[in-house]
Amino acid sequence: MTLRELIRMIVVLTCVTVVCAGSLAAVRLVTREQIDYQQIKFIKEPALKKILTDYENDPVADRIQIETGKDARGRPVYATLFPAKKGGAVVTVVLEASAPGYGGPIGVMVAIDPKNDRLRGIAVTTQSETPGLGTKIIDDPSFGAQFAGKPLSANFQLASAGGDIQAISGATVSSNGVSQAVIRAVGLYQSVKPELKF
Amino acid sequence: MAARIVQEFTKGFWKEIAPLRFALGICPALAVSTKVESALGMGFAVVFVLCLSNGLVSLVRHIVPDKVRIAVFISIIATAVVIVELVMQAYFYPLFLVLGIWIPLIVVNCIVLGRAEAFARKNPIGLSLSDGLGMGLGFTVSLVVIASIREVLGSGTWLGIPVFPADYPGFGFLLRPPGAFVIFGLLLASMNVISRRIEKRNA
Amino acid sequence: MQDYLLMIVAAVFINNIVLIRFMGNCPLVGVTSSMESAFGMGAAVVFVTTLAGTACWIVQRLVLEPLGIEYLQTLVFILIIASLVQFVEIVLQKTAPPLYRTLGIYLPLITTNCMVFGSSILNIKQDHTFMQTLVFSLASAVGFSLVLVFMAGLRERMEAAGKVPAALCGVPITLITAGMMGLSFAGLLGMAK
Repeated sequence: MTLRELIRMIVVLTCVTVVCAGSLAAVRLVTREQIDYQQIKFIKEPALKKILTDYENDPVADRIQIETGKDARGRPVYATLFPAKKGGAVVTVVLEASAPGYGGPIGVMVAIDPKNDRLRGIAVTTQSETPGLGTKIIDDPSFGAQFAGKPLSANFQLASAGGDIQAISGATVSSNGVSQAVIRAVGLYQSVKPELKF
Repeated sequence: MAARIVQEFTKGFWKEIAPLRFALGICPALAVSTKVESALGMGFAVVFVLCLSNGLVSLVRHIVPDKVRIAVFISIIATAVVIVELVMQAYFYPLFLVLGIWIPLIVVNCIVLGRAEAFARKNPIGLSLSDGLGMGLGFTVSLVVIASIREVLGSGTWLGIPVFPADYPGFGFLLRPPGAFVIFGLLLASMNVISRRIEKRNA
Repeated sequence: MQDYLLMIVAAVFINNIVLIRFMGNCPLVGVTSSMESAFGMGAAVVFVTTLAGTACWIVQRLVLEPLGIEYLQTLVFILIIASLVQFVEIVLQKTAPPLYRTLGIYLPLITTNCMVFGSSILNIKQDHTFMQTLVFSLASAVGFSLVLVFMAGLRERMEAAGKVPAALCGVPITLITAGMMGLSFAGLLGMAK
C-alpha cells in the first residue's frame, strides 16, 4: 500500500464520518423538541385526560418547566407543570410527584386550582402494588375522591398519623404512598408558585 | 435507460423478492410480523433506508477506495437508520415503541448492506434508487403477507379490523415466536411450489 | 451469584436470542448445512459478541452518556463492531494461524450478524452493570451457538435420511425445524424471568 493510498483512505473515512455525524446532529436538533413532546404526551396524556375535564388547550404543549435544584452530578432538575386553560385563563395546574409504596414508587398526578389554592383531584400514574389489595388506590374511587376539593393547607397525612385521609383497610402502606406523594406534589407547587405568572 | 430503471424496480417484487426468494432479512420479517400495522411501519422504514443508502453509496462510488468501502457503506447506512429512528420517535411515537429494537437493527439487515455492495456501488444513481425502491417495497410486501396470515389467523383481525365473528378464539401459536418460524417456512415452501409450476409451464 | 445463574439460563434457553428474540437468523439458515461450519461460526460469534458487548457498554457509559449524544448509539456501536471484527481478524492472523484458518472465513460475516449488534443494544436497554453485560453477552452467544450446532446436527440427519419433500428442502425445513426447537425451548418457561 502506498502512502498516497493510505492518506486517501484516511481522508475519505474522516470526511464520511464527519458528514454523517454532522447531518445526524442537524436532524437531532430539528426533531428534539417534537421527541420530548411525544414522550411526555404518550406517558402523561392518559393520566391528564383522567384528571382534567374542562379545558381547551394542549397542556403537554404548554407545559412549564421550572428548575428546582441540581442532582448529584450537578445537572439541573426540573419540575414540570401542565396548565389547563379555558378562555385564555389558566383554570387548573397539574403536576406529578411520587413516593414509595408497598411494591415500588407510586406516581401521583395532582390537579390544583391556582385561584383558590384547592385540590381539584388526584390520579395515580405509575404503581407496582399488590393486585387486589394495594391496587385499590386506583380501583376504589372513593379513596382518591377524599383529596378532591380540599384546600392546599389541609393535612394530607393518613388519619392514623393525625391527618384527614382515611386509609384503605388492608392497603395502609399503599394509601400512605399516595398521601406522601400528594404532600410532595403540593409542597413542590407551593415552592414554585412564586415563579408562576398567569 | 427508462426500461432498465423499470426492470431494476420490478425485479424486487418477484424475481429477487427478499426475504421470500433470497434468505436475506429474515430476522425482522419474523419479529415484527405479528401485526400488519407494525409490518407496514417496518417496511417503510426499510424502504427509506434502502433508497437513501443506495443513493448515497452510488454517489460516492468513484471516490471511495476499495479497502474501506464496507466501513463507508456501514456509516452511510447507520446514518440513514438514525434519521429514521429520530423521525419516527418525533412523529410516530407509538409505532416506534412497537418496533423498538428492530429500528436500530435495520443497520445489520443484510438486504441493505447487500444492495449497497452488490448493486449501488457499481451502478449510477438513477438505477440504484429504483433498485432500492423496488427491493424495499418487495420486502414490505413480503412482510405484509406474513403479517396478514399471522394477524388474521392468530387474532382474527386485519390491520386491527375484525374479520372473523367476535367469538373467534384466535390461534395463539401463530403469534408466538415458534409460530413465526413455521408460517415463514411453509410460505417459502409454497413459493417454491408455485415458481416450479411456472417454470414447468414455460419450459 | 444466583442472579447470574438465572440470567444465564434465561439468556441461553428461555429468551434464546435466535429462537425467541429472532436475531441471527441469517447464519442459522446459511451455515448450518454442516456441523463443522456451525462450530466455527459459533466459536467466532461467542468471541466477538463478548468483546463487542463489553466494548459497546464502556463506550456508552464513558463517552455517549456523559456527552449527551445517546442518539448516535446506532452509528457508534456498528462502527465499534465492524472495527473490532477487523481487529480480531488481524490479531488472529498474526498470532494464531491455526485458529485463524478455522474461524477466519466466518469473521467478516459477523459484522452483519444482528445478534452481535442486538445483544449490545439489549445490554444498554436493560440497564445492565458491567458484570451483567459480560455474562449476558457471553450467555446469549452461547445460546446462539447451541442452536446453530443443534440445527446442523438435525440437518445432517435429515440430509442423510433423504425423506424431506422437495418443496421443503433447504430453507423452509430449516425454519420449521427452528420453530419446533423454539417450542421445546419454550417448555422451560417459568424457570426464570
